[in-house]
Amino acid sequence: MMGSPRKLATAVLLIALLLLPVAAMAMSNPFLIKLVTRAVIMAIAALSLDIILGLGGMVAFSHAIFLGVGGYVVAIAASQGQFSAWVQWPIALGLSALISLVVGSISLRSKGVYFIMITLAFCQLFYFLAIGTEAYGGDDGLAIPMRSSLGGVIDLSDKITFYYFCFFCLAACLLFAWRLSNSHFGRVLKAASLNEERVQALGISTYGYRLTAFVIAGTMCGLAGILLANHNDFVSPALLGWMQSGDLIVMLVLGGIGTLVGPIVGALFLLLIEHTLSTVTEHWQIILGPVLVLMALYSHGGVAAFLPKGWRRG
Amino acid sequence: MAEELVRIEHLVKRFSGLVATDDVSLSLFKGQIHAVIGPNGAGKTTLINQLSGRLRPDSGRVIMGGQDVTYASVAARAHKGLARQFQIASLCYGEFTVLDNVALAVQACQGHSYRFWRDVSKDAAVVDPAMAMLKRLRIEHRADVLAVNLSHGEHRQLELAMALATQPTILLLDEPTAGTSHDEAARIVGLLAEIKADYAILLVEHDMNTVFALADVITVLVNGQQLASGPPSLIRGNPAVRAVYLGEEKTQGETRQPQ
Repeated sequence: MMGSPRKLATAVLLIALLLLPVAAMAMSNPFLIKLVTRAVIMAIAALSLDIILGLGGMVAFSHAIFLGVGGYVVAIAASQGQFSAWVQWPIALGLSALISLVVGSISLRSKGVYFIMITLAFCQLFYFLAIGTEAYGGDDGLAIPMRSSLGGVIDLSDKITFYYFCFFCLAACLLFAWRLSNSHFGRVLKAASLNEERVQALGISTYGYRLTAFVIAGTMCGLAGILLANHNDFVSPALLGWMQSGDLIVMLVLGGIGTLVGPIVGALFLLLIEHTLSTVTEHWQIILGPVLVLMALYSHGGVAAFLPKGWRRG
Repeated sequence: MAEELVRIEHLVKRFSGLVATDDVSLSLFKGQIHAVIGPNGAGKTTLINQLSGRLRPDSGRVIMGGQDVTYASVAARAHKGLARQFQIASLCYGEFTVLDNVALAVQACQGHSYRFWRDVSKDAAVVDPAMAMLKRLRIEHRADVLAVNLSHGEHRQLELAMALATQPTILLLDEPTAGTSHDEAARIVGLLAEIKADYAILLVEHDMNTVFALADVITVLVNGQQLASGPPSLIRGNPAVRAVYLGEEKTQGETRQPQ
């Protein structure tokens, strides 16, 4: 159940994001829109990871694969002259689902640290695949000459339109993830992460539920990949490196694992702090590192832990 | 003759040299409570683990409803109607409320839970049977309490509620009254006596009052071996049993707390 303080905080966050372009224009700071667009897209990716990591208890280091799959499908299609979103996107989402099914069905046979290592290995596999594929840019990446075309009304090359499109996607994903977490499925997934043995003793075989969650999250992350490629007008192997997977986990730790709203807060927080610190010094990671260590040590609920208790309970 | 729901044949389980289950054979019949007693380390929990599927025996067979399930998974056996009450209280989901715990068990017996949109806590098909089960065990006033905040005795009742909520035919009860208050224990014994006609029950229990109040058949395990098996009156009079188990229990019985 969603406590009312958490509902309120979510509403405040969404309204702030909704009004952001207006504020950015008023401050005549269009760069802010670009920065927050990126944060919104990363929030979708982090939110999708929260479904498997927060709700399902699976520490997957493979999640950046799907950012890469979504992004590369858009880029490769565009390089072939296919710009229609109605062609690009279903392929990107379908392929994300398929690859997450394969990665999940193999990784989920192992547990604990072995699961982490296998997902990490998959991530590296796709990373080197992207580097090795010279036809699609290899190491240098691949530029996208034109953004995905939805046909007619919605023009994704307009930065305010694109921002609102990403915002809408995030809101839809948040609604879906929230319903999911309170559904029959969500309860079984959560229970399996708390005590798998007890769930199995009730006659529920947990593998199928975990795999389904893995595919849902992979597909949602594929959507983030599609948007990110359009945002950057470019894809590169860095998109699907394991460090990118690590960044997504960092966002969850910062924002609060398993809270659904936490990942959004974490994505915003991480990208804004990166940006702010990098204007102060180019060695901004020296400052960010200790901040992360302190967060991990003292605030298991992330930023959300500093908010009223109702915010945290799923 | 009552319907035989479970039969184990010549079960053997070794843990690196220690024979935890040494050629044990027994049957569970519908409407009967089969108590397994024995000193600590006699292999009672190991036996339950092999029945539930958590442990694979080294040899021997487990047969449920006429089918060999020796190599079937925990979930598959549960699906066939086997429910287990866990001994260790921490095995409940502390972060779930009492009602949510039982509702999860109800979900488990209502087929799949691949339903992604509707709020499960507002689904009457899940909540109502769960609430009814809590009422049956008279812990409905604790429905909205997080399971982690329950007393030890309430945990036992919650475990029993969860086991019953899966609508099993076979119940494996691992010390259902351990750590409960006198009233709670009496309530659980009363409930088991009341419902036993519908189930085949295996009861592992330290408290001899509970055992003799409920059991139709008693098996005595010592060092993994079946020392004796039979109706309570025979077991009570068996000199070998008295020597290794009941005698010891009697001398300590007054002060000893069940674990």
